[in-house]
Amino acid sequence: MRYAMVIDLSKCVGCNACAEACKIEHGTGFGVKYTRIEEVELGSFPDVKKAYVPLQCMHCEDPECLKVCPTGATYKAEGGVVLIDQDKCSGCKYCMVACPYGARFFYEDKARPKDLPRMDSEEGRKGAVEKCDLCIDRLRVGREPACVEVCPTRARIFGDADDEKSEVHELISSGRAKALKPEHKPSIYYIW
Amino acid sequence: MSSSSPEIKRVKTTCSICGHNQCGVIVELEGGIVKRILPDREDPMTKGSICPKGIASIQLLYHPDRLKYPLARDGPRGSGKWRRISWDEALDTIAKTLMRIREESGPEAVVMARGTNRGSWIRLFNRFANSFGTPNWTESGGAQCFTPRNFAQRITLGGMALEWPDLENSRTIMVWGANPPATWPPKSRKIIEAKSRGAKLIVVDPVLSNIGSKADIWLPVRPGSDVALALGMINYIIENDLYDEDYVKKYTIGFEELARRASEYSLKKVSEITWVPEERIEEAARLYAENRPSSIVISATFDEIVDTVQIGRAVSILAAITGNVDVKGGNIFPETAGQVSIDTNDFIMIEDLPEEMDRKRLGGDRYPLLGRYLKVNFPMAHYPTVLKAIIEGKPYKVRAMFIMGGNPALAIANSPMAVEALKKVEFLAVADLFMSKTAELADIVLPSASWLEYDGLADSAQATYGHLRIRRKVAQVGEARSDTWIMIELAKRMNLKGFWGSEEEYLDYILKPTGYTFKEFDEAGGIIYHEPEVGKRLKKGFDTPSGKIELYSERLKEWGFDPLPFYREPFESPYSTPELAKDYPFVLTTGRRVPAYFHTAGRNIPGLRDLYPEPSAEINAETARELGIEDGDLVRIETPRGYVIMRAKLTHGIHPRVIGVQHGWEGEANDNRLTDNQRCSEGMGSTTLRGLLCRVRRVAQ
Repeated sequence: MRYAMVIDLSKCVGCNACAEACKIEHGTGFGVKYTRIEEVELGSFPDVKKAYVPLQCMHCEDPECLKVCPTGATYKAEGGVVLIDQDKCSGCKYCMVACPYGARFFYEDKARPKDLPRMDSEEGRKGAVEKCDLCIDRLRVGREPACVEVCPTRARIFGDADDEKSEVHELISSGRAKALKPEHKPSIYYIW
Repeated sequence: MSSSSPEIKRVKTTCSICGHNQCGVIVELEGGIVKRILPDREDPMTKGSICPKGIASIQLLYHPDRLKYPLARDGPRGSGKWRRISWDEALDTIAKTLMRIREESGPEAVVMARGTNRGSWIRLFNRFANSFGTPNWTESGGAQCFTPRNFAQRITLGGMALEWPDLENSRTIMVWGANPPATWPPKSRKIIEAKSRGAKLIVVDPVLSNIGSKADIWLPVRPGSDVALALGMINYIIENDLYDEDYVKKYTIGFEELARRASEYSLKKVSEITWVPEERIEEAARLYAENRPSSIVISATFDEIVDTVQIGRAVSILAAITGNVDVKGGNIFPETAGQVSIDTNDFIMIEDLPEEMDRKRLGGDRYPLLGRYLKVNFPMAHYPTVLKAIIEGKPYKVRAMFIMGGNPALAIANSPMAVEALKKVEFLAVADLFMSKTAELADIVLPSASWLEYDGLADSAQATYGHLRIRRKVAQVGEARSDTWIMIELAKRMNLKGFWGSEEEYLDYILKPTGYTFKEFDEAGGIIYHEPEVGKRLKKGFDTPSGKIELYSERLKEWGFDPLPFYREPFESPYSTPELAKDYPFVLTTGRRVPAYFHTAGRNIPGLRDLYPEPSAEINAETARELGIEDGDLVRIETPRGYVIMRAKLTHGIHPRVIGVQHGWEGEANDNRLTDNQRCSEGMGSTTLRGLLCRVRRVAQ
């Protein structure tokens, strides 16, 4: 089993429903976005093309973050999901430097605007690095990741890349879905 | 996290965080606490659309700063000193004060002003005003949202077809002045679906927006020049025989007059006015007219430019002459699902208002299309004229204001003037979810319920086409009550005609023709699926005096206006005020939307604020380089009326001479410090929010 997600950029309108659902699901602190959307522009006025590109932990087959972790906090779980053991993480942030996708966060309550109250539900895991865990608790009970579940345009497709009958398998094996920085063998693919 | 835990309860309901889209959602509760809000893919109407505002409603529901009890001020107005009072005391005080002022100064001395549509109470608000006897009902939106475009569609097409693009069946979609991913998630979802099956997309917007990123043709129109663009397209289509001759003959009147008028708008001239390259206008006009059926998606831009009646007229006409109205895949007409329609003059009891009151409506003499009962729109008072009356006491005194769901202290043009008036009015009552900048100035503040806290119906024709769906109460915070409940309880205390004993009785009344009570509707699943018949008007005639689509409008002529659409330059522009443009060389569009916020709401919700932490202004990257501005720099944007400070967001997706600013932020980032409310659109009184002049510079960081 190898979990994979394919994000169809032709369907992503940058509405941020995924980013919000992720924040609510994980109760992340201010400034911590396990998934975020970058805007990419090509050309100059008036001949401009623009794309919205959702980014998150790519759950690489051979993760750079895992290699540099001095405490063994970063590890691989079933289906190739890369996880962080919060208790083992010393907060050294080597992994944040090593990650080729800028997908890891270290929560400090400094970024919060002065006028913004704090919700009880914002856990804000201080002292440890955090990131997308592909909603592994949900996967274990047969439920899709939060970002996939809410995407209004169905831009995110999730499944088992090893399952030959799955949509993600078909999209990846046909070459329609491609990886960003494929040398890291990420599990998140894009159609563009 | 305990996704698997058996105690998860799932409730189907309809989101109303924005009041406009009514997305079908599933609320997940654990132990009575709302944990997740998910799109309902099975909803017949919205089929799985959702937005960050809806998802983050959990944080709104349980927000530490929610108003939980009625408050009375306990110090001077605006001092921030409050005491908790009971609902009885709050409602009694409001009812007694409004009745006393009615007795002493006439009902017109009371202004009812609404903002956000949180459920079906909006028309109750009109009904309340008419039953109370005041003509002075108004909206923060009002002449800036929906009213002008609805008026223009009704007098041209006999109904609001531009609100209902049949996107599932369109081969070409033209989005004009709207950004559905930010403001119309159901339409956004359908557009993407249509694109996936090969539909073509045209987007008219000065800024390359979310939906613009998916466009086959982007028309970066100069803010405020949209009418010229529409007339240019109409002319091109007529001159090149791309119009639907058969449709025009059968279903429209005034084509010859229209063709003569449109001939004044050559591609060359229109390109010069709009700053859109000629070949791009030509390409878009051709695609829209030839690759049929084609539909048009519009939004509030139509209500925020210099001539808000003309743009609604011109675009309605564009749809009509190409045979795209009341046809499958074109723009079609919504209906109700059989329930009592709240969107009628009957429901709002307009006939109960004495005629002399119709004449007294503030702003009605100057802006009759907004403020007189012409049996087209719901007549309303002109907000800037209301503010003026409060401040100057002319033409008569306004002594009390009751504001529900509105935040004019930030949300309307020339907000400093709104603040002055709010401070001055003798009595101010405000119902809202939070202590807004407007509520801060009140005598009495009432805690409104969010969409998760009341039973109701998603029944606005604008939002639901023909389907009727339920809204279910899943939570209760403090003593918050629905706006509907507040109206009914106040009406009781004032013995107003035409009200009900309870919220449930009201809902039963609305549902009565369907054969359900509210309780039965709930038990039956809470959905009536009703697909309106397309093409009915082609068979039976359009709802206009002639029974046809009125390209030439006799009614407009009768009321003293041009019966044909025409282009007028914005009140200030490089062409109408070239001297001013020397000091203010950029064209400004205010009110830019992002998906996380609804007008002034949402900045205090952590999950939403994290998506868009700071106010930003879109500036062309080349222009910024010339001005020494880098991405993320603080910039000062100034008009002759005031300035804002925002973060520069550099983009190539905007004309080098255009600046776009977000709206809804407080303090030095409030874009309504830049806008004007004195020069308003002809007949309708809309303030210009798009198409102003400004200058910009980097400030100390």
